Amino acid sequence: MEPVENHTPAAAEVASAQDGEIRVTVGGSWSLRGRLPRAEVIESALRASRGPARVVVSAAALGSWDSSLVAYVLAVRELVTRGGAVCDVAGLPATVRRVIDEVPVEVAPSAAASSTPSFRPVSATRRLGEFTHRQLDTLHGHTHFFGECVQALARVVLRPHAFRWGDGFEQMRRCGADALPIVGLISALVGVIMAFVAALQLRQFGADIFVADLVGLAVFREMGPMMAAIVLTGRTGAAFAAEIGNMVLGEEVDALETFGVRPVDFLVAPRLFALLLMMPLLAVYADFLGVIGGMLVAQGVLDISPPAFFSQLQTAVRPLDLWTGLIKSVVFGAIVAYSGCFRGMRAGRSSVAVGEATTGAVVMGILGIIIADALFTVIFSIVGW
Amino acid sequence: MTPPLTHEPAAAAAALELSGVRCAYGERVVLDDVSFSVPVGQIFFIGGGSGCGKSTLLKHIIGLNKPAAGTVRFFGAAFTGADPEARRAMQTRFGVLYQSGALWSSMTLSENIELPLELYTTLDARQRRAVARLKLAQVGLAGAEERYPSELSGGMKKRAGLARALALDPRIVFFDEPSAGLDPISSRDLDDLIRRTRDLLGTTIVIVSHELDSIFSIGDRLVLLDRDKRGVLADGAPADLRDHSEFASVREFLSRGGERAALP
Repeated sequence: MEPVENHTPAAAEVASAQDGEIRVTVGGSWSLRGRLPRAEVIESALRASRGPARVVVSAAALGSWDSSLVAYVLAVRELVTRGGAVCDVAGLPATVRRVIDEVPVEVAPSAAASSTPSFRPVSATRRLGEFTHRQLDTLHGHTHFFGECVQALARVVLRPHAFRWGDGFEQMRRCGADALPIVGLISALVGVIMAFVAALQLRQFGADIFVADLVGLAVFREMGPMMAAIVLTGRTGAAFAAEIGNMVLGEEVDALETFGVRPVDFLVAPRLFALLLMMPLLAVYADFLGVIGGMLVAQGVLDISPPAFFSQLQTAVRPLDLWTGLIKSVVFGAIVAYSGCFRGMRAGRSSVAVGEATTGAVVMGILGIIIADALFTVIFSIVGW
Repeated sequence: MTPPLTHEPAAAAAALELSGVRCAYGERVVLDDVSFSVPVGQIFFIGGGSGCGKSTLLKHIIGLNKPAAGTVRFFGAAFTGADPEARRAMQTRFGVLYQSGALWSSMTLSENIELPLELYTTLDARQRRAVARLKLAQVGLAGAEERYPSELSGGMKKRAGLARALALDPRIVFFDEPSAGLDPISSRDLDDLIRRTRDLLGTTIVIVSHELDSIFSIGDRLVLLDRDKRGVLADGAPADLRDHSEFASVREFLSRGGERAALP
């Protein structure tokens, strides 16, 4: 059929005949980008007709048309067949029918409803079982991966020539040197905050000089290692999970395995090794800047000169305080690297899964750090360090 | 399907016209002075050996990169240098099938097709779903509306990608290496689908590919790019170029593949 060159808008007239037949006449120019009639009008006509009716769709003065017309007719057909009525499209031009015929008639709504699982109630026992199963699966994954990591590190120590030193140094640069500005800034600000809080309280008792004790002990034992670890969780742990997750997605990890390379040796060992070495160094750096921050506040707010601050610091902080912080930071480094690599290696094969792996790595890392810190505090107090 | 007749420039204009297009990354010129025009309804191949700039040219045509010189016109209207609003409007009038399908992985196939409809049309939800069903049925994926891209094979992903490319009834569709990663049967099925799309909808088809099988079976015309010449080496019907090209390299390139294509 030759299209009529008209620019009248798309229209659909619905008329009910005496014999229970509903006539739908489409006409005008149909374009996806134009205003279009709604198929729902048919519903009220069907309701009014009471009982199964026949719906005849035909065309009159039809201009140009595209998928919008087909979509309209398909929507009408869906509404009509769902109501149990018959839809007759023989009155449409052959070209339109040819396109419509390509789409199979929608399945009956009852069958469609039973195939959607979202509304099926799931029993509590089943949910509990599935939850337990998932947790056991994760636990199994952890024990397996932890074992692999320990083996990989043992191989680094026993056979250092086989370790990928280039990768290791590159990772050290990325998680160590590149993190210096942000770790420094945050540690200094934490030192400033703590000194401020302490100064306001201590000044009331004339115990100004003890601000050095408070800042020193808090920074060396707790805040230095902790702030460095938390910054690295967000910065490096997340990056590990995203990098490795993407490699899983791109089948790069599969490719390693088929070459007989252990993915843990190739991907995890350099990262784990780098963070184990870098985290204590970053902790010392964070200690230093935290103390500097505290010292600046002490001088500015309490008029304590830097030499006085430092001599007080030396009496308050023992070498053991520095060591406890360093021991913690090594463990924190292991936790950050482990959670990043673990989540990355277990990421699913879609971009959403890689995002979930990254989030999971950060949550797991921070949670692990806080729990480990609490355990250390208890252990050190028992040991008397 | 009749093309929309509203607010379009003269219908006689070529679907796609390149004049003096130069593709460059910084100082490095990949292609220079590329000119050709593709009439409405043609299946047009851009071919050539690896590294000759086929995909680069495609990126410059569809507006992902900006040509360093020259103009690209769609149906007579300049695309290069048009204001952003006009460019966006023109971009909704052509479809692109990317090499991997590039389906949005967090959405079902139906949602993949419904998204552009939601953005650019006034269809209600029921009609959008109907268009999605129609497009999926047209590419042979009826019933796969609720599946996710990750559940599909490579060939199905390309079909679904084509369904999405066709969502807005484009008048011209671009394909980037459609046969890449497909087995010969899936590849031939896709070729059939491309030809059927043109026959049924009158869509102009531009394909970047070096698959000689496809070029000879569905191509109306072929432009061969050359790395050394940094431009168009030959332009004509594939069989003509194979038999009568003035360049021996073109005849050889096409006939070697032709023999291979003839093998069972």
